[in-house]
Amino acid sequence: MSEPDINLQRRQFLVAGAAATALVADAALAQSPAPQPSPAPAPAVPQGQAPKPGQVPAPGVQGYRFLSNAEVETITAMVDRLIPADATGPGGVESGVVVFIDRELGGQFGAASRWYMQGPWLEGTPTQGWQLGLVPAQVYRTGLLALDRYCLGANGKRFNELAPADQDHVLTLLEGGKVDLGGIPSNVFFQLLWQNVVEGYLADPLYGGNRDMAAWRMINFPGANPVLTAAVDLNGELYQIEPIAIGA
Amino acid sequence: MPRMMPKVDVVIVGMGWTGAIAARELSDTGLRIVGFERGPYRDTVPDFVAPNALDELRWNSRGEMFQNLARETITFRNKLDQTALPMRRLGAFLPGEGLGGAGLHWNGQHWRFLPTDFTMRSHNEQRYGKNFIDPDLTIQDWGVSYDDLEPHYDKFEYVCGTSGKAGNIKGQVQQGGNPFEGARTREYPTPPLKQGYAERLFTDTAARMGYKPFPQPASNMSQDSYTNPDGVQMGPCTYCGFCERYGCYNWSKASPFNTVLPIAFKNPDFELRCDSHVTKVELTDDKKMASGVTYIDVAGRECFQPADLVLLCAFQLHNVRLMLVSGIGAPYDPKSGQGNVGRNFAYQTMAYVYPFFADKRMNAYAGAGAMGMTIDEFNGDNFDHGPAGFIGGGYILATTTGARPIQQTTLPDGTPTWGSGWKRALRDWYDRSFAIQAHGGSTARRQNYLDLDPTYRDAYGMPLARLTFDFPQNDLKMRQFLTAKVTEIAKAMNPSQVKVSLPPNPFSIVPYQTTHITGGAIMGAERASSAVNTYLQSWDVPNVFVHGACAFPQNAGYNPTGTIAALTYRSLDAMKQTYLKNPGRLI
Ligand SMILES: Cc1cc2nc3c(=O)[nH]c(=O)nc-3n(C[C@H](O)[C@H](O)[C@H](O)COP(=O)(O)OP(=O)(O)OC[C@H]3O[C@@H](n4cnc5c(N)ncnc54)[C@H](O)[C@@H]3O)c2cc1C
Ligand code: SF4
Repeated sequence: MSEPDINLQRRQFLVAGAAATALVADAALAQSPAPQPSPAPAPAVPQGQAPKPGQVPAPGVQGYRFLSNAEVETITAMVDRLIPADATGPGGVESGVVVFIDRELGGQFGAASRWYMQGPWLEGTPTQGWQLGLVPAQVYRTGLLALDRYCLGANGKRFNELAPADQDHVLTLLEGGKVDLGGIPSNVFFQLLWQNVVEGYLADPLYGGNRDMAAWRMINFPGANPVLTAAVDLNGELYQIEPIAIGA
Repeated sequence: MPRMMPKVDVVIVGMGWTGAIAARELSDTGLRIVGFERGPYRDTVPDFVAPNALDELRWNSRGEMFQNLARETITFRNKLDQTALPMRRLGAFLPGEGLGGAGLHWNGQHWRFLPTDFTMRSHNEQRYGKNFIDPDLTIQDWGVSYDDLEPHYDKFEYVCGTSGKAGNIKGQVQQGGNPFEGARTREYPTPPLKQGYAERLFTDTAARMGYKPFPQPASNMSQDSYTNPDGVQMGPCTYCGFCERYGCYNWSKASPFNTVLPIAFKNPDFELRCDSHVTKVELTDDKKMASGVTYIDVAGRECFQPADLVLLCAFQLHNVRLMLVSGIGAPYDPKSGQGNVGRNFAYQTMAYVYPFFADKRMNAYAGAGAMGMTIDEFNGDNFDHGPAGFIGGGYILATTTGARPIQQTTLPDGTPTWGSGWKRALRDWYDRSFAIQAHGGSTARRQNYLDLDPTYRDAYGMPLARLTFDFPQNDLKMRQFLTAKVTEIAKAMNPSQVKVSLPPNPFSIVPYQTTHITGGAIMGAERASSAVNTYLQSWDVPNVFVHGACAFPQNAGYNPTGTIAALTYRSLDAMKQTYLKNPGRLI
């Protein structure tokens, strides 16, 4: 079975594309009516508290609305393992997934504004779905704090300070529901996180992730391109079209 | 005290497919009509223009046009002895909310049922004997025949400009169509949609195996334009792949907006009230007639709207709940089998098989909600069930509705769930497979039903509907049978690998399956065993008509909306020809 390969040209384009976005972002900032326009995009987190993991978020609107610095550090480290930067394609952090999660948790999703959240609260069967009396923002806040406590207890280090292999081990335990997160089943926490990571990676750049549509380019998804009639007639060949985003 | 509104002739509760059709059909009667819709007003422009209509996070992941569960949901349990708990997040089905209802975000798979589907009990008893049918099943005949519905099926297809190829015109079997379908009076209004690479692969293989593949009937416009009999225009489908779960940006997917609503809106005697949630149908003191409806208006005020005639068009679930809350008909009791409201809840029994091709691109993001090639050899009673040991069946469909990456990515078995391995699989396999579905019917059984939840309430203080459901053994056997057939076809395509994916057993409210939930206010020729008569008129409160899939005694192997609309057109014909002249029982 042949492993289809990403073409080199596209990767080069990607790099050029990222640079172009940076320029646009600079220009937008310069024009913004902010009282003191900063010459460069603000750093992801305040000086001295930068996330440790290998990836650096791409330029763009920065700063966090909901997540605390400690939460940013932990989530950045988690995203860095969940979708690492590698030769295959963009990593989650550089794609803006952490910014995406911050925006979502601070908005209607974080508040579960369209979920039914009235009690009484009972455990239920797996077939009855979500029965946790916490909105997503609380699940993250409570879960991340408990995770820090767990990691410190087990290793004397916070999650973001662990070696990558140890981080992967903790993630596997979380995924399997094996960590006590202060009453939150750790698999529920993990599934919510993973859902949001995938969303941030593959949603329209409008929401802060999928920077430069790099993840779309990796898989050849045309984004919000409404006219695709010509692709229907192909017989297994690649359809080449520049993706379109609603926002950047 | 609720605010008293000036009396009108007709109230329509819910402005999705059935409500919009009703508003259109009654537009030449001179009656004063108010249409209530709990969700917002919206229209193709400005709400669903490109590129914003093609936003996976907003419309699908966050479900902006689906039912807002914070206001109203259901509770669910598999079995009678469990405590039902609220469906807190959307999952197995995605009911609509807002003008146009789920008619805005459907696929446009536009089917007719088979003639024998309408006589499921008597036909199967006759062919296989009374003892062949599992005694657990409470399936029954509909009281209408395919021939009764044919003119109405035809009408709805021409209203929607449905694309397809007839398989049977007036008894003459047609090449390239579905040879099993009931006779139709004429060809589809527009030719079939384009088919993608996946569909061509499927067609070649299925034909080689001796099956008769045909294009799925599609209310996605296959030609440059179409003008329906009312003069309403549609535009060409551009295979944008943001079809089901999205509003169409191009007036190409038939929805209430580009079919019936424009005519309804021309009627000066029609008033639309959006953001208005009907909480109850009020009855006269003797409970024999409806006097109007209570609703919560956009400003949160309780109002009473008096009317002579009430049409419940609020979707299967909400129709049944409104009947239960309002005391229209006797609630069903699964222990005694007495009562008809809530009885015979049914669903759809799905299976999915994915062939993967390492060296091919499917370009599956170029698709349409109803693009697909089908075989019908194993649907309904199109084959001998004797050796199979179950009744019913389903169609088999190779389909390309799009490849929206968050929702629609399917990766091979054994793919790591995250990390570099996941990313590699995403890159390598995202566009190298397609789905072949078995779209199976759903029989009714004694323990599957709807009633009112004793504990949980909606945002207005009314009890939620409680669903008790699990798959009948008959349907699980059918699914196994269909899955084997689909897998055989998939393997015959020589793919690199094949993945089989079945919704969980027992039934789970979590993964999406279909929004084709049926029953609860079933129709019939006998008052003793149905909630509404064959014109969808309540047996108990004759100035209430109940439209939607709640009327299905059990579900067939097809998508429901063609049949829902045909029943609605038939009901409205009877209303106009007989009821309005002389209000009373039609049967
Ligand atoms: C994703 C998806 C894909 C689908 N694809 C297909 C397909 O391809 N083929 C097919 O045949 N069917 C399909 N369906 C099903 C199809 O959408 C429905 O069968 C059809 O819309 C039913 O029409 P209806 O009038 O009964 O309900 P709807 O169209 O849902 O309209 C009901 C309306 O009533 C309103 N309402 C509910 N309660 C109240 C209340 N108390 N007060 C005021 N208003 C209220 C709702 O907000 C809604 O707008 C699909 C459904 C979904 C969700
Ligand atoms: S696929 Fe066609 S019918 Fe469906 S939304 Fe896109 S343009 Fe409209």
